[in-house]
Amino acid sequence: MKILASYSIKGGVGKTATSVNLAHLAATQGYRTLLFDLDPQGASSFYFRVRPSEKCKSKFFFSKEKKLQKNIKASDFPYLDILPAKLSFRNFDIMLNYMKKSTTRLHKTLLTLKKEYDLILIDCPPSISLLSENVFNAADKILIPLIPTTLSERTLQQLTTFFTTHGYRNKKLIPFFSMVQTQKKLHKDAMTRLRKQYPRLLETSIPFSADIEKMGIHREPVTAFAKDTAGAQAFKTLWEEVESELACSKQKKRA
Amino acid sequence: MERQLLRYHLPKRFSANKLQQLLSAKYQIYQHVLPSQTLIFYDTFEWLLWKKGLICWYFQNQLSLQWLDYFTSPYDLYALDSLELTSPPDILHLPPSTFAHRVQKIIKARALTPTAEVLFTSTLFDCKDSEEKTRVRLQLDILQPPSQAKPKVKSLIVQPLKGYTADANFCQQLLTQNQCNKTSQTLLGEMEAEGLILPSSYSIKPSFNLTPELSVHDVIAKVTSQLLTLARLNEAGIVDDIDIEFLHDYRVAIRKIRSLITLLKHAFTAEKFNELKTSFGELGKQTNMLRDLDVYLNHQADFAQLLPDSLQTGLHVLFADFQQARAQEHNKIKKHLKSRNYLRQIKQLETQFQSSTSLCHGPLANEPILKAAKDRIYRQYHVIRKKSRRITPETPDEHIHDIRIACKKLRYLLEFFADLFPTNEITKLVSALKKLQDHLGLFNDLCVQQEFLQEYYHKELKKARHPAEENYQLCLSVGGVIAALYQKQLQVRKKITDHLSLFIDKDVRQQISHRFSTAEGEITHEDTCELQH
Repeated sequence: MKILASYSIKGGVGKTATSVNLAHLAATQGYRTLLFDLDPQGASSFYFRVRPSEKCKSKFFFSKEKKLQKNIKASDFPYLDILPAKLSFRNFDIMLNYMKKSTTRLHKTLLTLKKEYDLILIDCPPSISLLSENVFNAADKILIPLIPTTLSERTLQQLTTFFTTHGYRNKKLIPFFSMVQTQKKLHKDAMTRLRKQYPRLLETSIPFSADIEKMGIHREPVTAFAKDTAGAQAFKTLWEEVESELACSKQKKRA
Repeated sequence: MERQLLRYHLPKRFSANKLQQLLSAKYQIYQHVLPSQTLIFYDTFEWLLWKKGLICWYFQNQLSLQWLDYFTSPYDLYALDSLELTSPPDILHLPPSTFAHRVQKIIKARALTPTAEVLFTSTLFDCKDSEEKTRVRLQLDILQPPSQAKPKVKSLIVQPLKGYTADANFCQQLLTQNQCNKTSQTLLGEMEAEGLILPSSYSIKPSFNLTPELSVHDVIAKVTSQLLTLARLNEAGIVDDIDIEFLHDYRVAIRKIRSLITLLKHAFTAEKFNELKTSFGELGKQTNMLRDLDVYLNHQADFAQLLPDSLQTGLHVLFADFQQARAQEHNKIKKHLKSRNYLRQIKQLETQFQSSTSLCHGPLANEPILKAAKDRIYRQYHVIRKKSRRITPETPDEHIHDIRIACKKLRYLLEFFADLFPTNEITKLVSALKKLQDHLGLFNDLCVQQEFLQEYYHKELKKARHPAEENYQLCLSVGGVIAALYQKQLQVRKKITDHLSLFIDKDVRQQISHRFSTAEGEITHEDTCELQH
């Protein structure tokens, strides 16, 4: 089982669109996939029309492993399950603060699902907190959507500095350009500059696209309702790159 | 993430509309009707995939493989493997692929042919809530034989979705209230029950269900009739040239009959024995050449590995010749199997063995089989022992060949009369014998192949069919192959000596004495001579 996170300190950069589409693409290829919506806004869950269970109590998330299993719900797509978000997830930081080994709790919890899934994709909330540190410890790779602007560049710098100073491996971070508008000179210049600065930047860029925005209307991944559009194709190429970075394997039944 | 599926038998008048009506009370129903499509199942003649718990099917230009227990629908997204195929052939030759690799490990030289065909119609019902999230899925499958107007199997699957158990429970209740019964049977189980798919129990090593009180002539009739039926079941496959195993099994059946007759020769008069032995000998001999060529062509890659790249050209010429010779030989056998003479002869034999009382007039005919079986096995083992004691590195190949024949006879005896003795003892003996036979068989193949190639080359030289350059290449390659085969033969011979000494060792000897020794079972020189022929 591999754990992939879609993370950024900054909001509105395309983390959810990335999580939702990559999870869908992984599932269509036969990877038993779980999308863990860790963002209390619950946008990933909304895109898959999945609501959290009324009985779901976030306070048990890091202590009672079976509770986690009970909150997982099937999506409408084969091989893809969702762990929907709740507004109470906003309290995770406070809860973790009172726990022992507070930065590795999430990893321990997710490892209980390793027989069930080939891939867990975490859609993270925009912040840098104790919960984020749990993600840094749990994830095999961390996808960083990056709008080619000065502010995004600054947050990426902040993150790499945080990783270095706190002893996390910078190799885990996989930045890629998101919401790119090639007609803007600002984007083009930033892309050229950043590619020189961060050689680990993925080749694929996700364009700014109306089709991707329409996911809110369709409540489906763009790779499902408009799979031939440029946006969907870009996610497909992105998944191919990420898949080879992750080197994940499908577990076949009895085979 | 395992799928849990609940299958229901539907009453005859239960239709898709009725189901839609029932579910609409609570859900928005999205119905997808997947139009009727031909579904073809593939397996080998002896259902090797099925016996390994696998099912292979062709549906919508795709060939798929799945475990029998997991097969729920031809639209299976969870298939173990699949392969694009534009049309369903009568004989399936798989292109190189992971699919082919997986299947060939099981079916070996066997070919896949259609085993069943149905028209498959499926209707999916996605039951959605007010946010259009699917809460539970239902699938109505209708299976109909292509030649019939009415469906044979009608089944409904409730597919609960993780986190929405209450909705699956609701559907189950609804179905039970409407006289739909839950079943533990799989779709294939239902097809089998309705006769839409009929797995065969064919095996070239059948159980004869013998009991100790049967007389020798009863056993001869029973075993021979069964083996003759098996031989005849392979005739069509040989004629249609489906795969090389049809001929192999045909020959095994005939050889076993001949062996049984020889081993129980005193059940017949001398005249009858000679007549039967000649008849079955002739039947086998007719197919010798075709079988030899089948073996060579099937092992073409192994032969290629024996030679360096520089000698491969001649090998191609050799195998092209074999291919041509095989086509001619196959035509000959096809004509032979369809000929009046053959059909009259085989029917005559079948009739003769249906009632053995008129056939067996020898002194052994009325003896109980248990005594005769013990006696034969005990003596045959000691024949092998006696022959094996004299083995030295200088022993001629013919002597090894004799031991191989003696071992084969013992193997047949153990297999024919397995029902009369404890299974674990027979299995143990057969397993020990099989290891020895594998080496003896390989040794014999290597000797025969060298002779065959030499003879072939002499004939080719006389015919001078190939241009000088091809002839030169052929000469080099045939010489190379013969040399390589000879080296292999020397290695195998060493192993035979080791395995033989294990087989005639105290452990096996005691086992044989304990189970098969009879008061008058001591072996004499006369017995040895008799059992050899």
